[in-house]
Amino acid sequence: MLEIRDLHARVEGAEILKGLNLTVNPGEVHAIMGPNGAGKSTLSKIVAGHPDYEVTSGEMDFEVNFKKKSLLDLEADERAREGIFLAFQYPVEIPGVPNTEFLRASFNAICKHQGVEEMDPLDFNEFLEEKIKFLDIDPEFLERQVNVDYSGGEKKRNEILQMAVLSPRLALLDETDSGLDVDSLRIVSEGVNKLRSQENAIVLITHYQRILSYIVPDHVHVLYDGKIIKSGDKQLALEIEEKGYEWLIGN
Amino acid sequence: MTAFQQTFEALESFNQGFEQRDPLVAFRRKALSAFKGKGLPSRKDEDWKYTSLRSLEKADFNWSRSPGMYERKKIKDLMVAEAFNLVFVDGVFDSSLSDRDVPPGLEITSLARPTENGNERQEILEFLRQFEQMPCHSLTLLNQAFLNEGLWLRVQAGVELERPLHVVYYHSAKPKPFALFPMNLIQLEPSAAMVMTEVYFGSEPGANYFSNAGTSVLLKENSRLGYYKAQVESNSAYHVGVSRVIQQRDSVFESFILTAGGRLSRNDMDVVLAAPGADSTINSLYLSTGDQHVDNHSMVEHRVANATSSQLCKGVLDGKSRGVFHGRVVVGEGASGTAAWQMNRSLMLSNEAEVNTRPQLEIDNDDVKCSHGASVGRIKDEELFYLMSRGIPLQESERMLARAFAMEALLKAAHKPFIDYCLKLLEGREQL
Repeated sequence: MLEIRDLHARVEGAEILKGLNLTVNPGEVHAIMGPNGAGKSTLSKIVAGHPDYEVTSGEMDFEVNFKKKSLLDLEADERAREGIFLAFQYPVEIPGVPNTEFLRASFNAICKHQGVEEMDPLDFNEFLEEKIKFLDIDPEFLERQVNVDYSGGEKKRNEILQMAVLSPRLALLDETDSGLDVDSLRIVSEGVNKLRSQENAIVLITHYQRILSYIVPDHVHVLYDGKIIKSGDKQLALEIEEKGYEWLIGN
Repeated sequence: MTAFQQTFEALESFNQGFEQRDPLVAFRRKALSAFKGKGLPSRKDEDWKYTSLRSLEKADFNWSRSPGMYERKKIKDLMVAEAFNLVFVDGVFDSSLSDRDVPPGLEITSLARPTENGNERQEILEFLRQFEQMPCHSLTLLNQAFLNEGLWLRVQAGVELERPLHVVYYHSAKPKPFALFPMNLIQLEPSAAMVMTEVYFGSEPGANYFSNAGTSVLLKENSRLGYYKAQVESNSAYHVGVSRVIQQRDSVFESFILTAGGRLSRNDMDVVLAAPGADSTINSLYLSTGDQHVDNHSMVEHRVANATSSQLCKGVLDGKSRGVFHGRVVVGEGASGTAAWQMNRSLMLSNEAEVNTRPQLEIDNDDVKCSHGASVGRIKDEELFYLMSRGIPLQESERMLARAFAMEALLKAAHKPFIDYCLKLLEGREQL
């Protein structure tokens, strides 16, 4: 589904990714771990198409229904409409835009692109009600402005709500677990698990092993200095939890 | 000056026709001679530094004393079913389109058709005299010189009007450039309350006219006025709207002005807080594009202790449009306990648009709580990326963000039906 080959990328002149390789197949959950500054967030922004991040060399392909497209040719909105979703580490506040309006605009843009009929506001509200119930979100939340004055946990839940509404083919969760209280982590993880299927894939970017006991990954990768330096299964995450990164980095 | 040659001639013969009977003739003549002495404001004038009237000076306008061609349906669409509607077509009051069932407690007289009651003219002059203490630029003098069409409105003491008053100013496309000078005089007696909404509407995009409107408001003790104006003049028109408000003890003035039309628009909102407890809110929003020029000017005078004022002016500028904000808040020596807030925010959607902002506080008292500020910005990249990362196309994302910016101001208007009215008027506009 996602194939990244020898990817080099920079932001504001500094090279952050230095030859990264990653292959994600449908139905898989990958965890990408690594110390601060390794390039984890850069990777997620690059896949989502943030314009400040510049790919200097390498390939990044996205395959849906046996059709392969180079992500490098697509803008952020086009990638989202192809089914790529990034749950932000720091969700952006959008003053003045009600959450429902935002969710519906997003949902309809994606429906339109994928040839599905758009939903009218009433049907959409019904559809939303279902989603907020299983994420244990207060309905009042939908009327509020996007992420404005939300608590840390609410912001992260809102990301997962968007993910539930858009049902992406590939979801990248950028440190969705950081800053979450115990209940929120459980709710968010359950939300993500419900969205797991044989057709889609999830990439969890995280600092800590904690979320991986809720969302069990098929593959774990360690990202360091712009490259993946080790890959393994869930055991690798446990080892890192126990021993830290030093033994991998070689200091 | 050629600009008003024809209108001045028409005015003089008009004045002559009423000389014997109407005391307003002297008032008009005085204003006219003051205007002729001053001429149109130039950019050397501090209050007109960023707004040039040179293009206005070149045109010669006919004083509009009769309506041009119009479709009744178009006007009906601008009326509000729940309100008491008054309609002016090309500056002339239209009694056939206006509602007739005047709400109890409201007195209305057309300035153009004096009643037999001779005292009324004197009352009007007495009312106008109270505004001599306020700032007055030459376009206000011009409006006074042509004082004829307009309304003298009075809400009786203790009466709270249930229905809002809605005034439609409909402007057609006449073959020659025309000028109109509506003037409304509004007096709320003690403890009276009213909501008034206005729409200035240009029916044809190319219609060339000059609408110079004056509104004077006197709020007596404990009275409350909600004043909401939507300006969607033709994009070739000049619009000058001057509102002057005097507030007595514990009176409340809550206002909102939307500017979306006109090639050149100038709004003046001048408020005198003349007694303690008076509260004034003067919010505004403008959406400009192409070559439009919008100048929002205001002056809030805190003359006494314990009065409050608040002002938010927002602009969304696209194309090569120009915006000007010059807001003055003057807190006098005796005005302890004043609370005044003023903010101007501009969102630039294009590289060629330009805004000049000048928030100004002048405080002669230490015991006050005043703040002001201004910001000029573009759409934030992070917000744009967030929306686009959810599949919303670039243009739609930008539009959502501009709309959100504008809505913050529009939602401040306390009269909810007016917000819906504006949204309907602006349907399809890029910036909302």
